[in-house]
Amino acid sequence: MTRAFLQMLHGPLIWISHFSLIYGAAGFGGAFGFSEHGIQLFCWIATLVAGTSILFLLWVGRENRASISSIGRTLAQLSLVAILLQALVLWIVPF
Amino acid sequence: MTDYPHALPRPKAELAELEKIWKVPTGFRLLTAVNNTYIGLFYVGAALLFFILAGILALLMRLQLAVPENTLIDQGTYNQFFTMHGTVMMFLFAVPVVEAIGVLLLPQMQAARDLPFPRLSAFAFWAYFIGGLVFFGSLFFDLAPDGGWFMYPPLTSTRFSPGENADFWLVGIGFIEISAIAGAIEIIVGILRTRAPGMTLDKMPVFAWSMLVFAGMIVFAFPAVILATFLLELERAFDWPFFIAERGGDPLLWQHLFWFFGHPEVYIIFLPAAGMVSMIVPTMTGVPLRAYKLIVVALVATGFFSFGLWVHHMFATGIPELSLAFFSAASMAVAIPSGIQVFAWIATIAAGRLRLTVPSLFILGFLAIFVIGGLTGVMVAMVPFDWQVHDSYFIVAHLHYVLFGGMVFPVFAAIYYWLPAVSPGRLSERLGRWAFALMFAGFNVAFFPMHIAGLMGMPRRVYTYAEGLGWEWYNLVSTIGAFTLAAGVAVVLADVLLNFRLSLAGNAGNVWRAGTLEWLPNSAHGTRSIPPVTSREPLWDDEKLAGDVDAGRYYLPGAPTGGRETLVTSAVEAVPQYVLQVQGPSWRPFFAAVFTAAFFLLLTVKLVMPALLCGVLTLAMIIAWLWQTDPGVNHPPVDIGGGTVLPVYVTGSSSHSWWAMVILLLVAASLFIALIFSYLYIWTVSPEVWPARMPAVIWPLASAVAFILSSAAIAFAGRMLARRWALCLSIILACLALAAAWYFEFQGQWQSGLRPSASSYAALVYTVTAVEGQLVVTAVIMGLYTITRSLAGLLTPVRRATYDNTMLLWHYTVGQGLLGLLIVHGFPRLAG
Repeated sequence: MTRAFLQMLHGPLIWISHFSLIYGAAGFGGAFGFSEHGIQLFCWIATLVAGTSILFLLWVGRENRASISSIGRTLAQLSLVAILLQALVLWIVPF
Repeated sequence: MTDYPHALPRPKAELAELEKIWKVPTGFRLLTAVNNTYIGLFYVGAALLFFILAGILALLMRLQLAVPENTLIDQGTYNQFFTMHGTVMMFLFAVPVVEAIGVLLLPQMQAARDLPFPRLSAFAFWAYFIGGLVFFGSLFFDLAPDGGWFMYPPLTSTRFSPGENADFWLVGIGFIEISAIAGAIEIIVGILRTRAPGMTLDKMPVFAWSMLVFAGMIVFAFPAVILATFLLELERAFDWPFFIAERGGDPLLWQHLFWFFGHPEVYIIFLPAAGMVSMIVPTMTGVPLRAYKLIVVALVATGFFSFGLWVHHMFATGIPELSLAFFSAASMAVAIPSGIQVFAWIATIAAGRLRLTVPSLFILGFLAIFVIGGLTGVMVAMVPFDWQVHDSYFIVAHLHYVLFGGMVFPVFAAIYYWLPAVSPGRLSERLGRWAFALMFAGFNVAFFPMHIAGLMGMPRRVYTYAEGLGWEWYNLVSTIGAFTLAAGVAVVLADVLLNFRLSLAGNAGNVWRAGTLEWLPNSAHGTRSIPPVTSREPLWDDEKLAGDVDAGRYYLPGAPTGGRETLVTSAVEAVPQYVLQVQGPSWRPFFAAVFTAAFFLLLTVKLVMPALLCGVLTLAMIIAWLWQTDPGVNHPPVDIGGGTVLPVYVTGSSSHSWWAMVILLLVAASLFIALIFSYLYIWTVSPEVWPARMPAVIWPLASAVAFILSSAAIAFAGRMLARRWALCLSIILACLALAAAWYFEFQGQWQSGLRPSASSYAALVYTVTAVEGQLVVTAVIMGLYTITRSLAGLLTPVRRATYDNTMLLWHYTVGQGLLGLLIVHGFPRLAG
């Protein structure tokens, strides 16, 4: 069950982790006294790690023909789009 | 036909016994009924009653606004009306009605005899219905809440709302939240564990997928609003200043918590409606649903992404630009999965030939209205536009296009579509067409002009307006539209009264030629036998299926244990695992619900002692109800057919009750996460109220040691199940250690001089302790209950589900306690 759960939901789970990290960093980083550049760098690294993780898991699961896996792959692709959309914000909005 | 699990003919007495076992009580004992069909119908009927009541409030408000400077309703009453309209529609209609349709249809769709916890469904319904009626009744005593359905402080603080009206909202909806969570647990376990053999996840009806996502979202979203209401009530009752800026609080904390629930709530309402559409469209077009997997992806993705949008309700509050941009981007991202579903429905309609029946008309109406609501949603996701229209009638128009279009139209389609499955007749096509025409025209006439009135500057929630502002005609037209819409709803009601007859003896049959299992011949016991499933539309693939199922050719055609049963299958592949002995009619869930509702409502009017008495009675009823669960191996393994022999009792992670407990703990974890978010949020807002001096380290250390000791003692008790006195002593030690752990933490804070009303920081520290205290009390009660069962000889190394669930709760309580200590004592030191 856990395996099927992760096969299906790895993309959204990475999305939610990435979202929490960058929102947390943007919301709480300043209060901790971190510099804007530091927060921005952290967010970029988080985005890179999240995006790479999804791409890696897509590559690993490419041979799996099970339905749950194919639903999971499409969900992961959609999550990647959402992660990149969030990252776009980092790029175009000044801190 | 050697492929069938059972040969025909079946013994004559078998069906008679099945019918006798599943017979629904009659007369006043109907209140004890727990069959999903009855509870589901009660639930739908009650939700529609609240829909009508809230609709009447809307009509009265529209009458007031029909002309400028009207004096029909005074300002105070108008405030109560719009607050109750929103609250009743969201909490007493929208969520319950989809939960109700789930309870009614899911077992039939999955060919289960019932949901796994029928008494929990009955409890959820009665708590909701009784509590909801009393809550609505507050209107007649001038006690209804009047702070808007999202109850923002400081407007709802004691300073600006000194009466009990706000308390009715805060405490009064507690039972609705409990009811919704109880229903969600039932639905998740029911969908994952009681599907027909072979109904793998990718063969599951889309409605079941949507209900699974819906229930999962309730588990993670509702705790945030439970916490928010708890904090505001603590502030109002005991002056703990979570939202009072002078003492380090922040009113925006309420908005964060409320909308962390409130935005997913929109999708909690919409996704099941989308699931209904995905069931009706293939039937009406005669072709399988296009892009099934993409629709599943869209449902799951929407469920996740909707949790990243809550701040888009707060664009006008002055939050940082980066946050605005984050949430604006997330708001646009969620449009993608919604769009996928709309295109899939259009593709299905294009691939087949749509029969223009009443359900089809409501679906077409839904598509048109929801797309318009979605487009205005993308508009308000853009920050500059949102700033212009915030709190204007444009937002009123948008939310009604989304909610009424996205949810009410599909629900009416569902009523026309599925009532023949639970009634000997079907509703009138002629009346239905009239109803649709009136509702569709009335809706657009009522709500489209509100976009324009809003863009012209008309704010929401005003009870009247001056002449000459240019809003007169738009408001008059809206009022005419509202009454036209109401006329449409009245036609539906007339149709139901004329043509619907409740009868489980027989239904109208598969009148729409649908392909899914809820259209099999059904009775109080569900289907006669449980068929294996090999496709998404089994009735289309095998024309003889209905007859064979009804003749008892498939699994479990009788009642081999002599009681109510259903098959439990594995979560992913739906492989039969065991025969679950389902509980039957009982007064216990009914009285537990009555006392729960009474507890909350008496607390609202400050009748503390009677409220406590009701709380104790609720507990007594729940314990009496639990006492009959965990039957142990009371029957040898049974042959369900085809040589498949299954046990009647399992424990551990295979057991359905273990799953329910894990989901309940997820609810508790969500609430704790929301609390920790509040703690950290307040620190970012008011670091100056953080303490210069912390309690001595010995207190949290002693607490942590006691927590770990209690966990070890409860784990040790698990090895002593066969040795009664050692088990009892271990659990008593665990109870004492747990209580001591909590006491050390409380005492440490108290001795350091910290008082909860001093600052928002102090209030949050004591709230962490209070929330942990609730868990400690529950764990101790469960511990004592486990001891009692052991002493009564009802707990053995085999019959151990009670211990397993207590142990899960215990370890979670300890884990949360340790994490709480780490944050409360570690974070201030880390942050300096």
